[in-house]
Amino acid sequence: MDETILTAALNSKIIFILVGFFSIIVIAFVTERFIAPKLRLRHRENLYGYIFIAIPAIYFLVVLILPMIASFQYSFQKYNILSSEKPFNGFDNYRYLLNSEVFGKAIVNSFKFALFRVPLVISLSLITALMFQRIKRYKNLLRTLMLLPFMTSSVALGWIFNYLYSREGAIFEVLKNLGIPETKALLTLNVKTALYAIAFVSAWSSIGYYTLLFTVGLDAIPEEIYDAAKVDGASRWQIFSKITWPLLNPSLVLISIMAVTASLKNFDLIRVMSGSNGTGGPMNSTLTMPLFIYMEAFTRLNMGRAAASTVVFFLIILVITLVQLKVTQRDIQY
Amino acid sequence: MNKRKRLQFFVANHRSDIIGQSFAYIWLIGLCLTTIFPFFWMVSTSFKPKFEILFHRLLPQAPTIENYINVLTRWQYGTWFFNSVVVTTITVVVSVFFCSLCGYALAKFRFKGSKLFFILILSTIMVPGEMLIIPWYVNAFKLRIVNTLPGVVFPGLMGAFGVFVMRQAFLNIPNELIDAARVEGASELSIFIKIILPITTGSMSALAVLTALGTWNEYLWPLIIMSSVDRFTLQLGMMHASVTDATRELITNWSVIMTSTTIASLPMLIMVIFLQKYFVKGIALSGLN
Repeated sequence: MDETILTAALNSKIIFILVGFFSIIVIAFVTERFIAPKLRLRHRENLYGYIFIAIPAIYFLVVLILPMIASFQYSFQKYNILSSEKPFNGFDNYRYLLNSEVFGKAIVNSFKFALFRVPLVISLSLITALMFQRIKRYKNLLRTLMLLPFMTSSVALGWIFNYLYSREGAIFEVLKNLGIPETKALLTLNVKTALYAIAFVSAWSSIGYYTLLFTVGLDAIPEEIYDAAKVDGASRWQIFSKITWPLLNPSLVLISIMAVTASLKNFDLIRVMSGSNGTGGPMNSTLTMPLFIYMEAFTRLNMGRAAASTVVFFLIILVITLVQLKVTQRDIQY
Repeated sequence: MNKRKRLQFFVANHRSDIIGQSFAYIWLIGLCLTTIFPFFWMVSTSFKPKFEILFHRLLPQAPTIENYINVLTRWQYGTWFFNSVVVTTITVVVSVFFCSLCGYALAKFRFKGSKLFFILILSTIMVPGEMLIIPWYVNAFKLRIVNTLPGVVFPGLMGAFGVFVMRQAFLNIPNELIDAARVEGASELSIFIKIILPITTGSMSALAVLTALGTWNEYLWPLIIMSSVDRFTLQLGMMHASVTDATRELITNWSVIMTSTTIASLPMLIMVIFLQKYFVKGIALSGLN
């Protein structure tokens, strides 16, 4: 193929879309030059508001809001991307998911993944953020080093750990030297440990990120409260349990829920690290919801069923987010 | 407190401070060692000849660049790198500009429906990307942009998070500044481009760095939309190369795979370390919502 990424795909529809956007920009310039100066300020503000948000509004509508509605629609259809017929089949897709053992397993695995990863990463990064409050020098350097895994792509991280967990890798070697039998020491090939081995990598790689979020929360606590407590002779533990912990609580809840959502959405690392070429092996023990959706849609080509599973996935995330909103609306008590 | 007591308090406090600080340093340095080690191991392995993989030594005994020659001649890392650069550049430029435009309108113009529009944008944060990929793919298929540049960039061109961050930045700009420019007779577009954008470069850079990192590391959407090897982004290409290399020999040649991961991850890592300031600022901004 002689085409590169830059020249391919300039078909008529794309050119039509580009011309559309270009004409919006032209209209904006024309209005600005000839129409706007004649209007009163109040009308002008209205007009400019609409000019400025015209393209973003179209984008949000077409790329983010309509597809969401389309997802609901597909979930009630028998939809294969290759066939032109897509008849409505009521709740058949949902009934299929309800009866599917694999989908049930995917939901359970997703929650197992989250329940292992979240407490681990939250506790470690909270401790780390508190340690950062104590030190004065080399803060930036340490923070950068800690953020390294978070800034690396999950694909690269996944392969590094595929290596470390493998028969030739360092982690396997250490476990073997600790006297663990070989079959159990190959963490990602063992049905019982594979999911947690991946969750561990995910937790480890985001410690730096969550530490930063906690640091933002800790910095928001006014210095005077600490000074007052110190003058009163409060011990470190008292300061932590009576001041830091209660005041940090709202951001702790918020960050935990962010972490839960992020864990449920994790796709890349699981795809790279799960066995049988990233299809959730061994024996579906690392099959999580995003992976299930991906495989249903793009290897088994059941867009309808995949859409139905995304709706279920969305409802789960929605419930969690609503809980988050409810919790954060509680007043902060000083 | 009398003088003596105060002195005691100070000394006790100081001593526990030193113990506390050294404990903190031990914890943090220990943690940093665990985050550096895999990368160190990756780079070190990439210089090891094949037979040395089994020895588990920290540094290669007989360092060689044979793996690099091997990987770079067999795989099109140049093309993949170029594709990633193109995709990331387009996404960052478009996204930062339109997020600023939208954020500015929402922050500074009072027009009918602006609140509703803002709420609508924010509500898209809740929608997981997994839910949208199926309609995206179906429509890309209909538009015949599967396996093309427009196909791979269109989902990332704007986001609620970017609009939110930029709106927050514009809210901090005093209205008097804009009014003064209006009195001078400047048009709204030129106010936005010549006056407003230059004073919000901090937030814009933070958003740009976060967007660039996200786009560069994106795996799921390119995986779905790109099908021919010469259109792959770096992440896809690396995955493709590693999967093929891993199954090529009886004992996996990890030094070749680690060479791939090094080539794919090191350039961006080095760049982000230099832009770390903006990255940290971006995360701090994201913690606000």
